[in-house]
Amino acid sequence: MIYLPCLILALLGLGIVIKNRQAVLMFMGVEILLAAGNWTALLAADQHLINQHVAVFVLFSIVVAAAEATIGLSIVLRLAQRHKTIDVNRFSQLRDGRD
Amino acid sequence: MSVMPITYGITAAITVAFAIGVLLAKRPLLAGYLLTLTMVGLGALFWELKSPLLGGIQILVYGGGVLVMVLFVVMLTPSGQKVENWSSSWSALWLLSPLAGYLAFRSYPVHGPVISGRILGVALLTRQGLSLEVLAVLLLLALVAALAIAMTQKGEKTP
Repeated sequence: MIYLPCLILALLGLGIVIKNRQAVLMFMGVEILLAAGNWTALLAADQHLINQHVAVFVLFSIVVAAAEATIGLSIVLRLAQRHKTIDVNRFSQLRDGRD
Repeated sequence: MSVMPITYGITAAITVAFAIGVLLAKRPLLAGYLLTLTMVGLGALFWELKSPLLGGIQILVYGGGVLVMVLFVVMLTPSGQKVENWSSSWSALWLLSPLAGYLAFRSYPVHGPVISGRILGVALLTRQGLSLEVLAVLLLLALVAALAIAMTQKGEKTP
């Protein structure tokens, strides 16, 4: 039962990713998912694991999420430059060609 | 009854309510602001779980850095349109907020360990020194990669 609030938050993040077709809003869902994962890890520290290890894990998770957001948002900016939209349904190819 | 479980439950309910707000928001900018508040709520939850340093880092990194980036992208990209609406029956999702609050209140780890900044600092600098350096390099590489991706190439039209 201790992890259920985190699960609710993670499901809401997943719902945001599924519902929205705009890349930035999908990113917001992913950030909520990652943050819910951090919350779960911290609760796990309280239950089972060694404190420092979990704290270091959460810290690393936050940094990796920040790096992922940096690269992801720059890709979104790039796509917005090229396609004049951030609707992911419009991005039908990965190839770096002019369409 | 201690005050901390009640505070933890209320904070969890508010945080989940903000996340539901992101899900049901009609405008991307409003969703961005609500996401900031969600992250601040999560930072408060970390603090209530006796990890004040991690709570502070969560608020600084997510509430500060990432959210500023998200709002920049929302403003820079042509996304002025509204988000598609869901039917009004989805507003029943708001019931999840008090449910999460109640569950958090009931399961608050009263005897959980304290993860202070001192413990984290000692662990990082004595046992995880190499990992810390690798993280620094990762952040630097992410910065360079973001610049490389966002730069306009030769012969490409700018909007």
